[in-house]
Amino acid sequence: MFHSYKLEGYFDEMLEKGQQPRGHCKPFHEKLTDISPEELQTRYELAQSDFLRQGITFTVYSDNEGTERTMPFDFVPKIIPPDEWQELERGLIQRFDALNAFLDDVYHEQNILKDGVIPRDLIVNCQHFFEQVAGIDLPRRQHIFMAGIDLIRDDQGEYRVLEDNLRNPSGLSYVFQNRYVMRKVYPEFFNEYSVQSLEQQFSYLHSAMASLAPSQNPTIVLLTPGVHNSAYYDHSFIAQRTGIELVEGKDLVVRERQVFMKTARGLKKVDVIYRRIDDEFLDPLEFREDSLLGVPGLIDVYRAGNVSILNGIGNGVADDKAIYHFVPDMIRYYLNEEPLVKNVDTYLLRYQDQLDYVLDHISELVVKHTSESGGYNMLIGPHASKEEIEAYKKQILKNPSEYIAQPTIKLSRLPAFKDDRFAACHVDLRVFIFGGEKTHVFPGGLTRVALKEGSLVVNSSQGGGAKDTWVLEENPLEV
Amino acid sequence: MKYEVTQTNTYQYDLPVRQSINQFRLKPLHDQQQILHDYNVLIKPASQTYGHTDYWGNYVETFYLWGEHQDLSIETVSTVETKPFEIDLSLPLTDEQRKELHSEAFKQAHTEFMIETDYTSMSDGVMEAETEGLWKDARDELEFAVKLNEHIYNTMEYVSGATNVETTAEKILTHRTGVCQDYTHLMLALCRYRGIPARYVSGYIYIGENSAYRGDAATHAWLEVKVPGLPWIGLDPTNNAIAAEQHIRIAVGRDYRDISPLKGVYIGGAHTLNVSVGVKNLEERVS
Repeated sequence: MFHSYKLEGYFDEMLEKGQQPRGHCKPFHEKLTDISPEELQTRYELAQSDFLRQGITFTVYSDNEGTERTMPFDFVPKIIPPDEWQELERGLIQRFDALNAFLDDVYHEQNILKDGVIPRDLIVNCQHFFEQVAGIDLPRRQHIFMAGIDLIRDDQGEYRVLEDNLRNPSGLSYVFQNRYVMRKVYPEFFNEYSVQSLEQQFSYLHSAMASLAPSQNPTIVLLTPGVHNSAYYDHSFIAQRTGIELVEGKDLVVRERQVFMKTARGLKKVDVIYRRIDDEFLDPLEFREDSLLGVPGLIDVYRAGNVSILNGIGNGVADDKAIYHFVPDMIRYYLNEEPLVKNVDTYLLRYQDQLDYVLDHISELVVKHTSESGGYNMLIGPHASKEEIEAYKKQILKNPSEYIAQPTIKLSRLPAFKDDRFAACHVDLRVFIFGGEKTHVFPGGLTRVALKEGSLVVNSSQGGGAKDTWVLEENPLEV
Repeated sequence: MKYEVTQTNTYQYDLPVRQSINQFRLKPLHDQQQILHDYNVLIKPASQTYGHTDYWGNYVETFYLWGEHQDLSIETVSTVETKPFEIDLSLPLTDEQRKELHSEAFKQAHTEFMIETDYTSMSDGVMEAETEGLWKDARDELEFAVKLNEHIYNTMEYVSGATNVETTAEKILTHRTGVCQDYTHLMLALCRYRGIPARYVSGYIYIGENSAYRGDAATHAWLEVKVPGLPWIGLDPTNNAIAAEQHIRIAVGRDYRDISPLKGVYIGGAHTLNVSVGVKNLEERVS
């Protein structure tokens, strides 16, 4: 099965030089080689049909039709040993706390801008900066309820942050489903391992939401744009498992600075809204007038402190691709600490010297538009043709400040099952972090894998798949 | 000058409406350029207002009307005292002022008022062509702004109804017609293009006996520009005037969107809105 498997100078998370499994992967690797290829294929099909049966799909917007697909699942998990996880956890909590302090600062005193740590125009002219919410004091000063931080490992195996998603990170439901299917279809893989369980996480999620409420014993709802949204499955799953009501904008109404949910027995006051609607659609009175998804007057209620909106409004100003460059500075500024998890080096094309460098070295770099996500509108230099590069250069020069560039990282790899063999495919990891009484890192995450061999794009919308992520309580016994 | 300004806004709905939420910016500013002595609001049907100060320093009030109604009126009465304009605009900017104007620190501090917004959007070529001569001849940015004020006044035709609240600067220049809001957006675009921070001002103008002043007797719009060492200077391209004692300021922002005087969301059909303004000079002797 591993006969054609090659490491090719990449960091392989399962196999070391000489194709020997790393210590914490040994028991798994042994099981894997014990099972016949036919058996693996049968189970693989079983797993895929399980996802389809449960209706776990996402919508691909780039297709004209908006087709629904299931995310392909690969059964080789990402296994994280306890010491590695603890270190990562500390780094992610640090990053989360600094980002949150930054958001509270830019919507209040703007000290970090006054002190010149970050250029002011980058923040206040950012399309995600909503001056309508400046000056609003949030419960526990917590702007981030859920962050989805995307991590990669470089060719040395060092973790680096690729993106901070602080608006509406999706994918939490997949984490649970991946584990569920894994336990069901491949139960014996877990035998030698004590993997941190995900079961308590729902009650944790609920108490985190409640801890950010303006009052005791809050009524909490999840506000979704509706069934046509690409992440609707995520919305309904979270609402159901945390025991909160799933509502749409038309189910809510604002009256005299309070939000109410329409129920069969009349209006019921709502205290916390975990919304999965983008900022600009939340309230036609103060944001986009043409929005039919939101609730008129909602921002005034938020301003009055009568409802908590999770994640906070205007968080996009902290996870913008250009502002990412400054997160290490935020950690130093607010926490007086050195960043524990590094960024990927980022060039800001708004600066002439960095623009010059990038144009000279474009074939070695990845260039991204600051307001696009999901792997759209980016140039992967080493894989691009001459024509593509020239066209992209032209696009950059129209407005350089809208672009950033990063070196191509040799993303780490893990084996993925391909019919009759294993192939080394690139992976990344989205970790979910929750704010509330105490910042909490969800033990595990969504490991995304670029199933197209050689591809670096792990986004589900572009042919990526998912893997289960195991955070170990303790290292497995050496067998 | 001391004025009493009464603004009455009357909504009439074709059919009864309900669940109406409204927001208005009608309270005059109280700052170094003018003193707000008194301000009262009367809403019919009676309703409580909730106020807050927005990011730009304007006062915003929100109110709710849950039940059915077919008429709505919001009346504000403000007593405002404006101060005379005491800056000599004929003086050239000093070397220090010019140096600071071009500094990164100054640009950063006023960056919100130097960007292109939806309303002030215009292509560089058009802005270059429109201001080329004025820019070349101007002694400095301040003189440019004053000359531009005059230029816009001379080259635009004041026509109501030719534009609406969504007209952009580029459109305005192709027709060279518009109302005070259009004059203002156009001039904002051109000042910002030349690196001068500029902001939109909404307010009232006291016309009195000086019938040479144009404008909507109702509400007016002009702009303010900023140069180092001086306060924001009000320029009124609709009247080729320096905003002074006759200009009463309500709100400032990047463009019309930030100062939007009245807006609302309700359940129901179409409406008509009537706005009337009366400005009474409290210092004028009755003859």
